[in-house]
Amino acid sequence: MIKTVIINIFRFILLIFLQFFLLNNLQFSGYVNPYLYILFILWLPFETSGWLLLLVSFTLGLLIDVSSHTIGYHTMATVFTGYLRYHLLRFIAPRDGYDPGMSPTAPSLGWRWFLKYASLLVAAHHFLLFWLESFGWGDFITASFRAVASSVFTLALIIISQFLVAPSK
Amino acid sequence: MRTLFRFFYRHHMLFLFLVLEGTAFVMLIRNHYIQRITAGNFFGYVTGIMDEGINKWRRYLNLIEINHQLVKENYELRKRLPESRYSDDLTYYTSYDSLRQVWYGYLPASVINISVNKQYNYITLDKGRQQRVEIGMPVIGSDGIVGIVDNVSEHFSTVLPIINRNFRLSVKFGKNDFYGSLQWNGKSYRYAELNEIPLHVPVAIGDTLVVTSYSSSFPEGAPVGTVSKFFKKDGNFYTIEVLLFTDYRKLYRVSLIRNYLQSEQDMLEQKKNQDDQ
Repeated sequence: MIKTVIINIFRFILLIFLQFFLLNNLQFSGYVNPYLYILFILWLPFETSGWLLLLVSFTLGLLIDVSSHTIGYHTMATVFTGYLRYHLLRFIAPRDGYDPGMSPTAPSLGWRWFLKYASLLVAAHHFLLFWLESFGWGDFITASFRAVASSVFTLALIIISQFLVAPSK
Repeated sequence: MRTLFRFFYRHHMLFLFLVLEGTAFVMLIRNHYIQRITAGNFFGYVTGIMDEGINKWRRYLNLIEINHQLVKENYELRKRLPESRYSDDLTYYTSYDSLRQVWYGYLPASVINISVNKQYNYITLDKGRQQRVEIGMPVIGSDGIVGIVDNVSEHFSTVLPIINRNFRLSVKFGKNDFYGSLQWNGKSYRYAELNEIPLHVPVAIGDTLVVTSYSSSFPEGAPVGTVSKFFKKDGNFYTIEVLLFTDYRKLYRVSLIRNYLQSEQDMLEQKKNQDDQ
């Protein structure tokens, strides 16, 4: 239990730093802005209770907002993603629930399951974020295109992360 | 009562979700309008410290580019020295210079953080209230104008660049003084959009656009960009795509401009307003 908490705090800090020091500075095309920090929400253990999931999502979004000179955009997107994850996990749960030792990673539950899970949440997060960013202005198509391009890139990074650090359990 | 509690408990996820999402939305909306005046001070301080960290290695990575910029800027300045002018021009130039009052002062600053790929891009500079930077001061780079200071902390300031969708600036054609409003359409950091130019104005690709003296405290005639494309848009106006002189991805050294006569101008205009009432 304690170990899980420490691992998650460490992951939280690492992902925020990675986002701030590396990914926010990747500016190779105006259309691609990977937001890998969302991996933190994807990776929280199954046992995380709903309210904690939402509060943690809120904090994560707020910190990202502060570090990228925006306020509210990332927070709205992460809280929504957290809420979606809560319902998605219940919706796609196996009949006898998740085993205690399992974590929502590819090595643990298989690539097919993980890709479905990750791509849905990443797409939801990115679309909401980019639409909010173009809010009140109306270039819906460009925002959607940016969301798709960035989702693909984020997803690629998430897949790499599964090879690098996910414990093969 | 108990059923009410049970109802809340059953749907606590939904309520918590709505509360948090609502909070974030209020922050977003407030921020949208009041331009980070309240939150900006605190957040500006935190991001300033973090940005400084990034800047340490960014500075090394961009050394070659910065050298080029500095060399170019040196040449540009050397060209303006009286010695590099034709001799009969010199007399005119110096005699006036010794008498004329200083209108604009330039404070060099470094970019310590910049984004180019968002809809609301910002630049952070390493000069702040300590150097008497004020909200509304214009910022200019070696190639052209950069933006306007919109927030100041003790050591840092943030700049609203042309490539932020809240940015508006009145610019005119260098050749014939027709003016319009420049703004950014959120697509590419190299291009901005100029509207409200009537169809009878002769426009050509490559025309230079400069700042007008009406709207801002920029010195009149500061270079903005060139016309790269133009087309008719519903009715009597051109929409013009402007290639900006400033390449935000390569921006490092900039100057903050201080208008020494601004307070005098403001005072005069205020007095005029009072007289009219």
